[in-house]
Amino acid sequence: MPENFDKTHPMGSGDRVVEQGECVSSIAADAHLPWKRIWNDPANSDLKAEFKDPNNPLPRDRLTIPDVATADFSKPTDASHTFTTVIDPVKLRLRLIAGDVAFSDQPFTLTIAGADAITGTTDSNGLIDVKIPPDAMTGTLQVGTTPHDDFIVLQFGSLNPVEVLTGVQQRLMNLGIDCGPAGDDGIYGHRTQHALLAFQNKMTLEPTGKPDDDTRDALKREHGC
Amino acid sequence: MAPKKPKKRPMPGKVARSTFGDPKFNTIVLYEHRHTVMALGIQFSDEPLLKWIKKLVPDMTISGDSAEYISHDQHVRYTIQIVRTKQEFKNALETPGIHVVYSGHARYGRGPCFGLNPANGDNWEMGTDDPGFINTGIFRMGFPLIGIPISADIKHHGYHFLPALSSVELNDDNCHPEIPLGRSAKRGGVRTVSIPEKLKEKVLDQGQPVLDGESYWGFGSRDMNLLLVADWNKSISTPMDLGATNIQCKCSTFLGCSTLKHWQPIVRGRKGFKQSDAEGFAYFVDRVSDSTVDPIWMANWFKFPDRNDFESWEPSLEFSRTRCNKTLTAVGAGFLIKKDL
Repeated sequence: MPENFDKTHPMGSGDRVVEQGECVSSIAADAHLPWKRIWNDPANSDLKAEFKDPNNPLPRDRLTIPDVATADFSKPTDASHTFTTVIDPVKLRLRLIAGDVAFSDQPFTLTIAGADAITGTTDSNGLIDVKIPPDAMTGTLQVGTTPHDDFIVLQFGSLNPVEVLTGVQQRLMNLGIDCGPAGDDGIYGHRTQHALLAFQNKMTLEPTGKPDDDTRDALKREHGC
Repeated sequence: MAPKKPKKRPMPGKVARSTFGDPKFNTIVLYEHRHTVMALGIQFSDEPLLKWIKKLVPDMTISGDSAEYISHDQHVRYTIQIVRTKQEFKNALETPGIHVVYSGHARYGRGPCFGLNPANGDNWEMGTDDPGFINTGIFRMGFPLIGIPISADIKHHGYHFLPALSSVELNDDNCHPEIPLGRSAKRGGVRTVSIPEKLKEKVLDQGQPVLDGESYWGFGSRDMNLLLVADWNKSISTPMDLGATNIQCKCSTFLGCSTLKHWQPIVRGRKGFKQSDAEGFAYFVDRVSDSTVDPIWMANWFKFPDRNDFESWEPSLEFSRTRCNKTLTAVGAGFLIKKDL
């Protein structure tokens, strides 16, 4: 029987079931609400207390979506008026590392279906910081300038909290530590154990091979979230 | 029962969105991408090379003429593209940072030849022409005159050929380095010879009939070589030959027969494709080879056990060469892969 290191989930008791690839930002955009109204709603306090980050609740967690606030405006009927709904912008902040050093000052192109391609250059830390459509689920990031340079398929909102084993495995993989053919299957097998040992050795942590609190904290720190 | 298909290993890429002002970020460690173009010469154009590699590397995925293998040990994503045309071979040689493999006959230094199999006789030698002469035929390597053993090639394949008349002046510039210009005729050096009677009908028209008593250049002792005009009947590749190609690939591996002898002096010497630091690697074969070496070469490169992303390719290439040569020796293949500095 595989060892279970995950906290109990799904969490929350609302009607809105989080699906794969969703987070509070994308759900808020879908509901035409600011994300803070959902995240700070007292009905979602359990989830907030557990994961502390609105951008990676788990699939099958349940959120309560507050009602859309209404407002009355008094305007003359013989003129046209523009009403603007402000939706919180959603960003992708991604740091690229190549051969243990920052992939700095390199061109990139982020292609998202249904949106204009986003081009730019990584900063001196290898960071990409761009706005993305709130409902975008996937994108293809091309780095470098020639056709044989590399690309990565990104799955937005698919990073699970570090408190669950899939989130640990996803971060290890993003950091270039192989978790075996099964990847982020949430099972604590020998490949995940070896991956954790590799990470712990690299970070000079106690080599337990287990996703203990120190390791999760270090993973969160190294990964950036 | 069909064999179970290996599952493609998942790659990194699951990331969190950020809200405005949120300092958190995601990190992704990039793998180095190493791209190989495998150019199949005319006689190997229908060989299922990718399937042969997959037998040795089951985790490799194939899609048509391309393949991908991800080495998590190396932090390298390998891709392969099979090409079968002269233009694609030229493009590959001119692409910086990639690995180019040629699999096919070396033609004694005349160069690779592209076209569709089956290609017997002159087609095997010259390629199957197309109207623009862009995609098929010989990719000329550079020396106008090449020595060809009569028994091994001309008789065996029954080509038409264009021998060099003895009125042609021979020098270092127009002769392939294998032609022993400095050796005496008694010791098998260059001398005037006659075309054997049985081959006269195969000689191409040079604007004059092959007259009795006409003499040509030849050399060799036991096995007579004729000096042939390298493009045989007519060049169909001008100007797209090695001279008009700006080689920029990171590594070239020429797996045709005896490329160390036939091509190395051209590629490294006349063309000046040199190794410097971590660029310009070149591998050749020292004797008559066959296409079974191609998958072994690639598979061993994929199996290098250590992380070496964004570092020199040399350790992994040398690992492949050593392992390849062990296998070739064990099976008595009779040839080895040689590295040329």
